[in-house]
Amino acid sequence: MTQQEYADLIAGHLSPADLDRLTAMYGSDTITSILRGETLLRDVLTTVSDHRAPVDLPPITLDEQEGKPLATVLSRKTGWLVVLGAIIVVAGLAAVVPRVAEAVADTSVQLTDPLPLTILVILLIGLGAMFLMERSSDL
Amino acid sequence: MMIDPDRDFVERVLSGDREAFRSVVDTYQRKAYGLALQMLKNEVEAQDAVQDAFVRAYRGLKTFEGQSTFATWFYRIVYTTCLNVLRRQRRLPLMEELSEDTEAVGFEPEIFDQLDRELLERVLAEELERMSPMYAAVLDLFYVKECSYAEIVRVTGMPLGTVKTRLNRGRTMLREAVLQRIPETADHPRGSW
Repeated sequence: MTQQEYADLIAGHLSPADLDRLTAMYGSDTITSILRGETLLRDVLTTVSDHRAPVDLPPITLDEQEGKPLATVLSRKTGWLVVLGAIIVVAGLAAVVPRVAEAVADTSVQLTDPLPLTILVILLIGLGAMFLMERSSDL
Repeated sequence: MMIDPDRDFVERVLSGDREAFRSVVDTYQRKAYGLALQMLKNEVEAQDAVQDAFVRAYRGLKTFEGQSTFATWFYRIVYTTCLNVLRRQRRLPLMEELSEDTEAVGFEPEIFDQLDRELLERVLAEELERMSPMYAAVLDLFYVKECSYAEIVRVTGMPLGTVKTRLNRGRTMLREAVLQRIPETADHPRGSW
């Protein structure tokens, strides 16, 4: 049986004449078997779908961002990247801030010195995290 | 004349009754989640997609012209929301060309007697998890949501022939996965009626 004939049969799209023609070609047992198999398959797939959905889905809020937990605003992967970026920025700043005051007062400091370079790297990481966050929330 | 069981809710929401949309959410949240999960294969992303789809539906309800049922219109929003997620993550699969002339494949009723129901459900769930989103979506729309071919065409934007072909191909994949778990499958014809 062609997939076109099969598709029309299982969807009930066949006219009585076409159904008679298919029955004559393939036999009534085959037609009955196909329809029975489709009913059973539909039943199992519906059960599978029901089982895969959690009993309590999170409530839907009609305001796009209001009430949405962070995990649903950001995808999980990007969310962790942003959190990691934020931790790096905070930890880095905590380590260097006391030295920034000294560096500002010291006019001999060059961009390639360890301290300015560290600050630059931290800023770049932070900007990268913000860029990723922006992309993830662009729905 | 097409009868849309959700027409009353739609009109109430359009007349400013925001709470009427709750009924729509109650009716469609699990169904939308099922479709989104088939496509995205990730629970959190599926929940996000459903949330976004409801917001889009609410905001765009005034553009709903009633040319299809609300269900079809809404599933289209869920489908395109999921497609956008897949596209953004570069997970949108390339679809191979499938011939419309191939033989149909179906589940013989005997298959359901040869495998424990629980195992059968697990095998099908695992295969759906592995399956390309485009096949899984068509299977979900046809078998679970009980959409007609015309409705699936509206939801997915695929040509009718493609819908039927993907349905056949998806069913073939499910059947092959099940047959691999039945030792005595040698008795079964591999493929067609």
